Amino acid sequence: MEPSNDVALDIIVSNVVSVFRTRCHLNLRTIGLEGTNVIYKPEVGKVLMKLRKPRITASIWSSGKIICTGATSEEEAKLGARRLARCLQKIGFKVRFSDFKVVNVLAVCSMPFQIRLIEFTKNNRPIASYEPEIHPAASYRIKNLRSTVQVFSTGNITVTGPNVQSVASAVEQIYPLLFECRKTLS
Amino acid sequence: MASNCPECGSSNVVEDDLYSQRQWVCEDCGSVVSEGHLTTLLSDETQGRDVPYHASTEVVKKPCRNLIAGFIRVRALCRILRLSNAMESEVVSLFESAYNLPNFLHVTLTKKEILGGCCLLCVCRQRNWPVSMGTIGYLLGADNSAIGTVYQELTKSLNIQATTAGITDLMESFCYEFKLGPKQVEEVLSETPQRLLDRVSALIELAADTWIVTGRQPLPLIMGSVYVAWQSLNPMARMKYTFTTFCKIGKVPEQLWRKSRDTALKRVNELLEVLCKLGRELPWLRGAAVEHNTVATLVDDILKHRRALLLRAVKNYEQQLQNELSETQTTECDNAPSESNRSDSSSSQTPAVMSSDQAECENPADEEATDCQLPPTHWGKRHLFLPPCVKICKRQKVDVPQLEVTGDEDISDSEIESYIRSQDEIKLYLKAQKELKQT
Repeated sequence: MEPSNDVALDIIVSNVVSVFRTRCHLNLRTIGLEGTNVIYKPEVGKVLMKLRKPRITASIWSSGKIICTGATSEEEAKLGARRLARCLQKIGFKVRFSDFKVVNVLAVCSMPFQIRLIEFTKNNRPIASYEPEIHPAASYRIKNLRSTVQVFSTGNITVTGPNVQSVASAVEQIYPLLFECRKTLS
Repeated sequence: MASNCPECGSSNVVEDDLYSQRQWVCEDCGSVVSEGHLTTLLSDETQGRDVPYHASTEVVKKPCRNLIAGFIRVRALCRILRLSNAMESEVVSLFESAYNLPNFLHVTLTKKEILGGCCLLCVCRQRNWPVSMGTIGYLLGADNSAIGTVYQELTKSLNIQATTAGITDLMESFCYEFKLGPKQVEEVLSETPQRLLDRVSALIELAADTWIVTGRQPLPLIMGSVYVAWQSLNPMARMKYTFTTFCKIGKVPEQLWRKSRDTALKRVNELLEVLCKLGRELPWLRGAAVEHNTVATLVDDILKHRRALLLRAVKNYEQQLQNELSETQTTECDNAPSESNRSDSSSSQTPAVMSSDQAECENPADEEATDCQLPPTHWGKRHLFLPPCVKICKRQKVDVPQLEVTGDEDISDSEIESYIRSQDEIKLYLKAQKELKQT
């Protein structure tokens, strides 16, 4: 019987990064003046706009490309992006919401056991790499899912991937490998 | 140059050099119309440009100066670390192949120096020769993170598979760093490396079981445990020496310990805490208090019986948790009189445990206070010794509830209005900005 059948793991998505385009040039000074909750950074050439609900921070460039970070789900990211586009429309720009794409999803998960990292790295070379003097976690790259899992010896893992589905599959794929390297209580 | 031949008058003049002399020759009659200089002039020699390498006739490519300097540096590193000749030649050949890779050829000189150190690290790891990144960093004067990035690039480009050095491998080479032989320091302070090594390995094993090793830099931990081990081997005479004095006595290179002195002291404190927790379990002390400055005398006994003491401590802790759990359950569902009966009976059943529990009664209170928001199946709820990340775990963001959204909902105008300033607000804002600029 596979161990994953018995245990229900809580995968908590902590950050979703998405991008979209407005298909028109944006005047950053106007946005900085007429918008509330904005920070204009002329030295970098962008405006940071923060929405309250959903809690999202957006970096707006004058070319019309916008990056949104801080959402906790893909739907929330889309809602936040659309709200932002409506906001820019109201300010007076001819905005068209297009090319929305979720670029990165970061999730954390807690295993109910401790993990022997040196054994884990030995069993999964060269996909796993562990340098205790650089970073206390072992990192495992899953090429076909384009995801990276960082495994800590306390049993916590962080997963980053291009969407929520790949993150869930990554956790499923790595669970048996972690289970066989768990620290059993003496 | 001249387009007409003076002899026959034809205009068919071609440039046809005779060895290194430029000549213009008429093709019809064969007479030389004009010619260039045979030798170089002084102005050519002093002001003319050198022949670039690609236009020269040189066949064998000379190794570049930086590569030669790199070889010398790599050989020097190998000799400082006393590697065998075979290993030294392996390192040099690896360095040569790595140097000529496209991603290492056009980098800064510091990166090339670090590349030499990383080649050494690779070869040592393949031969199970324990060398830490910290040692390489100290020899090259570079940061651990810089060495790490270059090392990862190197292993990826050349597909090298090397084992990671564990802390136990580094211990032995480190113990020999401390010059504490009988001829080098006073009798009272001297210690043979072998005795020191045995004591340090026992301490590090204990540290590994109690979450002091994982996730931490190995070098400060080894330094701290060597200090504790040295003190415990003759506590009466050596307790008064501080960590800094100890490093000076052992004549350790100053850069090595000065950078990580604070971390080493933190590890010393953590080790002493663990030793105190285990010291309280010693049966012949009968629950007497064990403090950081008195534990050095007991370290010998603690380390000899560490497995048994660990099991005892963990068992007592679990018993305590169970007792507290059953007490809270009885207080919830029973009345006062039956409650006191219950607690009396539970206390009579476990007389042996209670005596050692009294000594530990302050500790569980601390541990429970820091035990926060872990899921019920988490192993951290049952353990006496916990890593710092579990003891002081981050609080989940409970104040922001998860929104149930589909992403395609309608957005009302009033929501958007809250993000846009009205005309009055804009005027006020501009006025405020102007006033701020004036002051």
